[in-house]
Amino acid sequence: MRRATAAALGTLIGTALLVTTKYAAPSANSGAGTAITAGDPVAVDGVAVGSTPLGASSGPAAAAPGPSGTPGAPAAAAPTGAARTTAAAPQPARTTPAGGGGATTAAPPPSCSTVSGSGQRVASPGTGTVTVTIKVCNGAISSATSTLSQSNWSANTAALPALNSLTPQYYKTNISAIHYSGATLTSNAYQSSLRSAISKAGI
Amino acid sequence: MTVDTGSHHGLLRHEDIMGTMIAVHLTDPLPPGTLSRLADEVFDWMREVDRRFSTYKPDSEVCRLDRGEVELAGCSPDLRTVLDACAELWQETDGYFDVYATGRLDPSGYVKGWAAEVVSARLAEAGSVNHFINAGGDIRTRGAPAPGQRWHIPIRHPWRGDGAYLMVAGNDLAVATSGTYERGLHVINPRDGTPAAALRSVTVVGADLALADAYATAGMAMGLRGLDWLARLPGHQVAVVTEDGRGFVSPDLPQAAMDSVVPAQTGRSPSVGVHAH
Repeated sequence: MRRATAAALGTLIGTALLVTTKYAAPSANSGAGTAITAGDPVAVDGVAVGSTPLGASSGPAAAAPGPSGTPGAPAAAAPTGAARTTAAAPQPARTTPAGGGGATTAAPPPSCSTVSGSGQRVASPGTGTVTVTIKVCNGAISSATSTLSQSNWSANTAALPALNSLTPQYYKTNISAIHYSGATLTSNAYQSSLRSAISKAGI
Repeated sequence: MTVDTGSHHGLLRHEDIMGTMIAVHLTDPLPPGTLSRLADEVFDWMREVDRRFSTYKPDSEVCRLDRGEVELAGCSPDLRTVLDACAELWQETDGYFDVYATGRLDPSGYVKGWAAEVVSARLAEAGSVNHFINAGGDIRTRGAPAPGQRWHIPIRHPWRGDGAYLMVAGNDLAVATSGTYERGLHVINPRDGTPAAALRSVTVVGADLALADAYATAGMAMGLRGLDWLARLPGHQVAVVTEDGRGFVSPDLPQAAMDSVVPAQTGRSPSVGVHAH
């Protein structure tokens, strides 16, 4: 009979996994009009791919690329609809420069705030919650990050001789979902926390 | 619902059974009619196992035994085989694999992998020695997706549902993953009756899917102590991610680098969509 023994063999550097999804990059020259795009599921650590700054004189906000055909991204699934419907909000402000005359003027400074939401606990007491923090600029989500709160466990649990430590990285493959080992559903905790943050932000 | 996908090499079919998805991919150079018949047998068996072993169907053999309506001696040889194996696992895991962890008889942590293991052996006997079976995320492979290649099995990312954090690769493999992310905290620590919450994802790779599945469940139930136990499992390799985001993997886990994956089983160009960051 094998006894499971926890051998504390050293302190492992805790690499808390941060699932970070950025919905859009605020454009360099147009802080107000933020294109809302679904985060590219390949992007990690906030590297936004495919966001399009709104041209000062060009078309509607809807010109921003859509969700780019990436269904199933759990982070993107819940907020996309809400975020995109609010993307039009900053538009009128930008098209009414004080001087009038139709000149393309610099956009007004963005008014941004950050809101965090924590939904259901991801585990029973002792583990923690997912906190999703969204940055809201002029009524639209400009970015979202999430963290998993550190647990109550001591930090020196077992760096094991027979296991190599790794930082779980995220990879998007084009292998059919039916070939995966593990689950196919999305993280309820993430989505509930994100909904909480969106609700608090009032958007 | 049964779905046949014709665009793949061989025959790929999936169907919702046992409250989850069962998929089979046959890649032997056999006539389409033969492959189709073999796939039929796979799904017939899985449905039969569901009928007999489900804890959700009141008239299943497992439920009737649990209610005391039948004696163990009067149960089918299959059920007795399963319960014998579970009893051995209970000893081997120091009680952490426990079909009574939830208070009633529930051998599900063994049955799914066992059913796939049994049907994989039947396929091999019937002439299909190149196949892939996915029983709700627990995978048994034999042979190859195409001559000279390996099966590639992405392990679902513990926090993101649309990608992988690891790619297991090989020919004859049993890969079982137990995670808290899909069904919540469904693994109970039989020692104190609380949900096992310390580990987020436990993958066990071995030669027998019934065992791999049970070991993954037991490791999950052990929590952090399971790391050490899993690391010492003879003949198995593991990958574990803790709830606070630390990952561990056996040095000899058969894996493929993410950026070198040739997703042969999809039949698509290897240059499409496989990215590593």
